[in-house]
Amino acid sequence: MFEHILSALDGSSHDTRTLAATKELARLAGGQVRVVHVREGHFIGRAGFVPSEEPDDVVKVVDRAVADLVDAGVKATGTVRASISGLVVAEILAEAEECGASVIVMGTRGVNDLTDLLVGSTAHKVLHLGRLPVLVTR
Amino acid sequence: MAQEKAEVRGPPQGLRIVVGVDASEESREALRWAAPYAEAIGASLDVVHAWHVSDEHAWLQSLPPPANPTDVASKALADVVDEVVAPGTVPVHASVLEGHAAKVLVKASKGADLLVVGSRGFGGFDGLLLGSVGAHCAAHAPCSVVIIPPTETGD
Repeated sequence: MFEHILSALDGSSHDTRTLAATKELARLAGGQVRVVHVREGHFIGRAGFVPSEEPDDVVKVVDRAVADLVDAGVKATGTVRASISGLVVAEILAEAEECGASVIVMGTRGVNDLTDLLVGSTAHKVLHLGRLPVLVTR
Repeated sequence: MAQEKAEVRGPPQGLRIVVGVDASEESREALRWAAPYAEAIGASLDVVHAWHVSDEHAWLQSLPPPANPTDVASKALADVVDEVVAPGTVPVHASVLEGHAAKVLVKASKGADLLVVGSRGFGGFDGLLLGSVGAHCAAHAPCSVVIIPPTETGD
């Protein structure tokens, strides 16, 4: 049930809660965790793909999360995926499929606070489009 | 508004997981997901069924009810619990509450450790993957929420 868990982080302070919930689920059945952070960006003319986050920053988000899980005795790996703005969900769902996740853990809000007052648009889209149980953390 | 609670098995204590259950297969899936999770973390299950007369059927209230809705719902809920939750595995407290499901579940999840709901309940339209109750709970519940998607065969 919780053998493969996808933990989708957005780089916000809410990641702490998402990681705590991920850890708890993983410990229940010795589950493996795949941490994913999707680096959003825009295609701007000749500049091509212009990311909204620095590469080092997103790698640190994932590395810190993986280290935290491993320190807690949880098997974990991490990855950073890239997406143009608005298609983050597709990357999260693709990662979930690739790692054979049985549950997705993610926060309700993140870097999209200003535009998504109730549920972050990413979480909302995952709930709409995903075929897996989604744990929305608070 | 809460009307009556129908206790099936022991009251909730300690860690508490609220599960929204209606007549839908998705809600049974939610209970199937929640039961082993509750057992694993030593939590109790607070299984909640909400009912209300929608505005479009308000005229029915002028007719004498064929049976007490809460009694009917309590029996149906107890049957679902017995079908899905293996006896003795986890403490279950079943409640039948009057009110819109989304509001009832959000209120019931106050102080709970987790709320588990099906993504689309009995009232959803075919093809609508996330129902209004699931969306409302994800947005407003005071605790973390697990949304269980429809089963492949149930589409």
